[in-house]
Amino acid sequence: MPRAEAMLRRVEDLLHALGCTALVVVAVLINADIISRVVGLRPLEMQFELTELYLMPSLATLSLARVFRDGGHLALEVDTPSLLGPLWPVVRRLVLAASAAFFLTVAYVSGRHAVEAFAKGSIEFGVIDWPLGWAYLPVPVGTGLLAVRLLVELVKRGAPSALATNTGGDINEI
Amino acid sequence: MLSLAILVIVLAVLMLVRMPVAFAMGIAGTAGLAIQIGTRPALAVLERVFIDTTASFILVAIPLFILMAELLTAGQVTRRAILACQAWVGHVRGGLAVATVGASVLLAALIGSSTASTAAMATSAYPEMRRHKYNDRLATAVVSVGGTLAVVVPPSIVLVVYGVLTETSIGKLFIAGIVPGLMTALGISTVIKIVSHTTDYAPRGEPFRLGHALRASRHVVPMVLLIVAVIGVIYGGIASPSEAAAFGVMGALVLGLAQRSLRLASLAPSVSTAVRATVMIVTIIACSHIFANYLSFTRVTQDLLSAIEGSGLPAYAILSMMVLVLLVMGMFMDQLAILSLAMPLAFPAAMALDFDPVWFGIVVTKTVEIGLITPPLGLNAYVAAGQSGVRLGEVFRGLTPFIIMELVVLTLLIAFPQITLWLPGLMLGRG
Amino acid sequence: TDLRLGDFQSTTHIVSVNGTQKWMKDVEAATEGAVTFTHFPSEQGAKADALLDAVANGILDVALIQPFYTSEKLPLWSIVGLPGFYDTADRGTEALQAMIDEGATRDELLEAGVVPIFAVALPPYQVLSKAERMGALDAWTNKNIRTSGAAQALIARSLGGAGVSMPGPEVYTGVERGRLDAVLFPLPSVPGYNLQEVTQHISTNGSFGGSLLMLVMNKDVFEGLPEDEQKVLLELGAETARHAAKVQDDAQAKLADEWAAAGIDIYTFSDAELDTLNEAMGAVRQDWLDRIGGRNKDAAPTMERYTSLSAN
Ligand code: NA
Ligand code: NA
Repeated sequence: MPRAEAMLRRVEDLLHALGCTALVVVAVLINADIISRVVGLRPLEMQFELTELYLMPSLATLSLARVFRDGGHLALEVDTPSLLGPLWPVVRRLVLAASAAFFLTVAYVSGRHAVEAFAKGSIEFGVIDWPLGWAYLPVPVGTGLLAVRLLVELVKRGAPSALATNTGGDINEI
Repeated sequence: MLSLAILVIVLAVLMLVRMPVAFAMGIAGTAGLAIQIGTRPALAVLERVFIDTTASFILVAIPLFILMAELLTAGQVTRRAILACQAWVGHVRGGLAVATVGASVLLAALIGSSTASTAAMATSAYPEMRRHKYNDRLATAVVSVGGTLAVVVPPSIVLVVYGVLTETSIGKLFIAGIVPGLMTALGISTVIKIVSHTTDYAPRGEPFRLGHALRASRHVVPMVLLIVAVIGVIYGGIASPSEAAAFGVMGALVLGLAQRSLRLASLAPSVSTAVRATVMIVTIIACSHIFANYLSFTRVTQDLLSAIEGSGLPAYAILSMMVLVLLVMGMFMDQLAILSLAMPLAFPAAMALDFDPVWFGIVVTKTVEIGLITPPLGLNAYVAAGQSGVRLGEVFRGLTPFIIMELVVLTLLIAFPQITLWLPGLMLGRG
Repeated sequence: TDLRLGDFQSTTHIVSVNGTQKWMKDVEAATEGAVTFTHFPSEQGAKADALLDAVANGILDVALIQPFYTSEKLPLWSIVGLPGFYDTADRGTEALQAMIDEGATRDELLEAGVVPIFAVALPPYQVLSKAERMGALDAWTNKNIRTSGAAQALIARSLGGAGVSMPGPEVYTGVERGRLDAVLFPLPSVPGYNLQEVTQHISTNGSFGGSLLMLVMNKDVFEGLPEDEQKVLLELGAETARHAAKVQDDAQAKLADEWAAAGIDIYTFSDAELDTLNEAMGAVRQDWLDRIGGRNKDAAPTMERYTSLSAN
């Protein structure tokens, strides 16, 4: 189990690094576009499509599992655990199971969508041809890994007091 | 209607057992869709909703604003702005607290994230106030309430999300936020003055020294330059508001490196924080689309609208009801979750009552933003408490007079729409 | 039968009033209530670019779609975005109605799981500019032109300008603040964005790409209807398309008069100017033939047919 956890962590960190790279690329691209406009060069016509089709989906979904691990998904701050007492670990597992089922479904149907796009060679007709399979790919990857993370939390021995979510104290909200 | 009631209860229960808000909306929404239009079509909704939500250029403003705030704090830019403001107003009682409000306004003109702004101020303004023997209640309250300015004063993530959800012009919303934002800052300063003179929360001021004030002002120059540059690229026609956020990130980076206060090593954590926050926010937006999609198939919007039209209630009575509901939601929920949950219902209703979409956006933003400083879930208070180590109860106690002031400002904005609308009318013309 | 009809337009849009809603009302009356509709306007049923899938998947039964939003599923239909074909909505609609009735363009829709009910052309895109008329190629050189979609970006480029993609709500500020020098827009849609307030020159006889709206129905649902009802849907569809086209052409003429009275320079290109512009934009047609044709053997015959259908 610890080895599986370590491997999962490594994959989560890798995808998160990819998401971070996407953000850096977005910032660089937009600035390059602005600067080229200011100095009177041709604007980067592909900046908009590249950002919208590939970079935004990547930076918004690849880190889903990592964010859950860090307790970054916002949840209500209610003292349900002490209210439910000994029932809480059971309820918590049910919550994790339902969440895992949801994201497995999302990963499956959106993955099918992506595979279809690859198989058909779907493109978005732009100034250049944008292959859509790659645009669709980050969603099933990100949600799929989140489902795996939820399942791992589910079978973990010993329940942490909360649901691996927090509601403040971290600066990464809003 | 019965299934809708059950679904809403399911949603509430899921949130009460601490399922993340996004997951709860996604699961309840999918279940609702399956009941309403069938399982296969419901799965077809799931197939596209994440890609359709995330493949959106306008959303890039969110990670970019947060990244900018991270870089400004890491680069000490905010702390220097506070010191400069203090040099000018530090001689009055509560002067440092007022200076913090001034610095919050400056910061708000750059970033659009309330929690990001609170965090930046909590790590820079709170230690200063503590050093000057300010009471913890006042110090943390000023930091929390000052943070809310970031979503009213443009640019603003909440206004971007409102604009995206309701297809209202983001440029106009931004301009409309300026006067209400400054009004709020004035309100906060007034409360500080009253608290300072009626309690011993704030120390006496230090003597004013012009030379010192002038010297300290140098430190605010870079920040003002950055603000002018960011606003300049928008209104100089060089970049759209979302693109300007990227320009601000570069500016913050250059500023921090030029002042040698930002180390390249702190870049990676800043980017990581911005991405994590974005993932959380976008997941809420995507899952709320699932729930909103379900709501539209129940036709509850149309039913509610016709009920409202048939009720014969005056428009302002209906608006007051909506604001009250949003305020109550704000006690328990995060502002983006409220927006995405409530706007599919509230916005068409408000439009049917002939309210101005820009004005309504500012009223809604102001309303949900009050929720950031009210218990039990008040994100800004949480952040201020977390960063300062002051107990949460103390922070909320200190916030009480500020919450009352916020309600007064909100009432004024509702009673006098021209406060909000005259500036956009002046700058952008009619329509 | 009650049918769920999804739509991305608001209920006040000219094509919604004179097209979609008119058709629903007419069908309900003609079938004496045997077919009724529940309308989900303003993307309530599905997002604009998800409407085709929503109908194919049964989320909705009927939808008004913009085929360019799903050009990966309907590549042949992207031909309507090309410049220099039809000159009025009326003439364009005649061509499009023929293209949904038979041929590779109809097969493409059936393949995607939907049956076309009607297709209506929008008046061809015109150019709205700030500083000067856009008749000469010089006027386009290195200008920032707001375009929507691939074909238009290529149009701007073929004329020497740069295509700028910008979300609809930001266009007004973009023009006003000078980020944009000109905008390609169908004139009846201009008031919705108040672009007449910020531009000084508006062309009326250019053909900077076309556009269309199409009403489609889930194939199984359509085939499940009795034959006489199917016939009613299609006949009223053809009638509605023609009506909606005419209303738009009239609206364009009326708007042009209003704007001219308000002091805006409303102008027509001379034949020589049109020839110059169309010749430059010929590159866009060739590009379409190369790229779509490289993947789809029906592209070249479709262009031949569309050319003859929309010819003056
Ligand atoms: Na702001
Ligand atoms: Na609250």
